[in-house]
Amino acid sequence: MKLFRLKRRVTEGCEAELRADRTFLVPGQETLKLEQKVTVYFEQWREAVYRYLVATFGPSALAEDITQEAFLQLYRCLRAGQSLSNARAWVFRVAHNLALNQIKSQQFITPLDDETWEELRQSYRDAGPSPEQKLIQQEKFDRLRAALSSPTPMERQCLHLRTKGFRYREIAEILDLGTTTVTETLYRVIEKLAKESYE
Amino acid sequence: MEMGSTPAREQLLLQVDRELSPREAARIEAHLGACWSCRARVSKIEKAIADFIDFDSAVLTPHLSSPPNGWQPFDRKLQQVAAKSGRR
Repeated sequence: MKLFRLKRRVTEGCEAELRADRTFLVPGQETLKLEQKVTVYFEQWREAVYRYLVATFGPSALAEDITQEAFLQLYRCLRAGQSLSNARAWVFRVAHNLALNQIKSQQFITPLDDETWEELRQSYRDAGPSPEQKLIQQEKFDRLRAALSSPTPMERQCLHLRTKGFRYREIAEILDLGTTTVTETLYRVIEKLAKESYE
Repeated sequence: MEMGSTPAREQLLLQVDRELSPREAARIEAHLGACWSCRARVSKIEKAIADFIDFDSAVLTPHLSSPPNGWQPFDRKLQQVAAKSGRR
């Protein structure tokens, strides 16, 4: 029950400042251990962190370990008494930096290989509401897949972080960039996705 | 209405993402009211975002590989880290 209330509270206020104390006050003046608190964050954010790593650094067996390590570092950080103003962005930044050091997949192009892609195309062809709509949907996804093969690593990282709901200043913090660079990078990748020049 | 100067293309993205100051956002909004060309650019930006979100939710997210170990070792690792921290 305590865990349920804590989960609800985290959901409602994930941007709220995390206190560095080792207990977490919940309604009724009960306390939860820091381990439980980090476990709640882990359960809430692990899929998003993991998908970010796979989508931007490539499918790697290390992605799961790195995700877990980022949350263990969150625990160590809070346990040491540090205060974090945005724990979610902090976890993404740590995971990103760990992946930079460990995955090193410079050749990574797209998270879906050709075989998987062809299976998906087939399933869309079979499941679309009408032949015309199926064709339009397939063409759109083909175009997007092609567009997603061309972004640079930084463009891909900015795009997927923005998709996870981070604001520009948060993306800048996670990737250690200036907000102007984030703006220019996102604009370039959006332009590639639109596949049309405004000139 | 006075159209004002044409905003930089990146500013249109910032407007779409609600990243501008209220004053700057109001200036761009006033310009968009008068300029079809910039409105068309904003539409293209919004369509590209919508298409990518469709693609992400329909294709990428469901088909990215799942974690091979199903997150199992985390609880044990956390307890180990907590035990080590407690001994300090």
